[in-house]
Amino acid sequence: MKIIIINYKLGNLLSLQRALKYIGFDSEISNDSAKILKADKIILPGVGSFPTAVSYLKEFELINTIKDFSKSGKYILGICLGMQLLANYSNEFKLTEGLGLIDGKVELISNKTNYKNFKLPSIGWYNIKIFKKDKIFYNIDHNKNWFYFVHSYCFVPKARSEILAEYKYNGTDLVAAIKKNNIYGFQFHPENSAMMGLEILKNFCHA
Amino acid sequence: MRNIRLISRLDIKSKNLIKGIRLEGLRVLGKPYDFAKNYFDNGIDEIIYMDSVASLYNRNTLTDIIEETSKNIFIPITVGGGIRSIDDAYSVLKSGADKIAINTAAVRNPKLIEDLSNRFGKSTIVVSIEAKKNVNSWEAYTDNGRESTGLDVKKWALQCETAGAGEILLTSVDQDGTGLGFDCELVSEITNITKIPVIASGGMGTLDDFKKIISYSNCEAVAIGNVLHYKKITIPEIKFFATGNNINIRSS
Repeated sequence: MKIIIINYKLGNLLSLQRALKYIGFDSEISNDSAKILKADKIILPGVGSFPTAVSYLKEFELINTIKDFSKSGKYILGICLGMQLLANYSNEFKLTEGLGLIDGKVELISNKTNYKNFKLPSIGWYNIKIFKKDKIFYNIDHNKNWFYFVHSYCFVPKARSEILAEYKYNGTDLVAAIKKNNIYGFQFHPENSAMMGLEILKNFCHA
Repeated sequence: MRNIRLISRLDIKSKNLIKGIRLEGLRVLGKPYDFAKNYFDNGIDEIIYMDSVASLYNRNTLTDIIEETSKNIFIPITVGGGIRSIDDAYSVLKSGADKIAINTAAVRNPKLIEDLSNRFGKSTIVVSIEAKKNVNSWEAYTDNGRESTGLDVKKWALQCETAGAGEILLTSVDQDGTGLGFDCELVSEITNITKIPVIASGGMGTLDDFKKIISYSNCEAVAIGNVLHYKKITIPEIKFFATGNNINIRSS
């Protein structure tokens, strides 16, 4: 199985590659469009800002590549900023167009319940509330689980039906996982979420 | 009540885990990776490696440790000590670190925080502030609490936040390594004025110290050293205690 981790200069790609290796899957870190299109699965990682990410994707001519890949029906996983890039647009720094693979927007996390001492980025381990049964959550305890989040911006999908799971950050509900057809997105970092994170990665690899 | 992260801080000199009192006076404890792996297996939430010698001479040893850690330990790893440039940060991140911590270089050139934040993402950048009590306030120190900067910690913390730091690792030079409790007032003052998360560090000795720093301040995480390295308290003990005291923390 050929898994490609898309290299567009952002994100700790090695962490992800090592996590995959640990669970028995080899992967290649690449920004070669031809290779990417031939892959069985692709992962879009990312840590950083949305506009910077889009400019790097453009620099490496990956926007159409990823869009074309999504039409193949083969699985895509977006992690953290990688998930947010799937949206139509983000208003981080300036209004920037995303890949538009899952309808929705990316905006700054807001303190919806006026929680005192609300800090950003949201950094920590949280329990995700799973709304839908999905093979990606196989072997994950739906009542007690812990995943590592670190973000200041959040993805707000247009269709609530595309939300797989949410988590609560100091009173505010935020999207934790999304899915549309062959595209998955996780706001948390499975490669930093200890054994549960590895389990979810394994489920993606087997999907 | 916010979720608290429990972080293990490991000070490294060359190949060894070391620990000091008030950030000086070193004792060799063993291989950093071995300690980190043990903590990971026991449920620690994050690892911080601080290279206390912080010279270019030691770079390869440090990157070897980071590499080995990131191959087997799947929680966030933060590395600090001697990071002076984007290239330094890149090489640390490339070997497997998730976040980098800077102190001295940031004090000398605060714009570095902005540059690093823009290049690698805000959440990748932790500013490490070593605070020493000074009459009515606290002064920022560098070089493991040895060099004074003349900077007021409150002003400096806000400056770091504005420059684009994602988090602050706030260490009390006075309390570090003593096991006599955190400088709660310091952490409280800083967490009351900053909007980015603060990790409280320096002084943990008992479970009550842990409870106190969380209830007294608005820190989002607690970093501990000696108490774990000398096996005075275990991670499961801390987490069990936390859960029993209504502190939200990752637990099995």
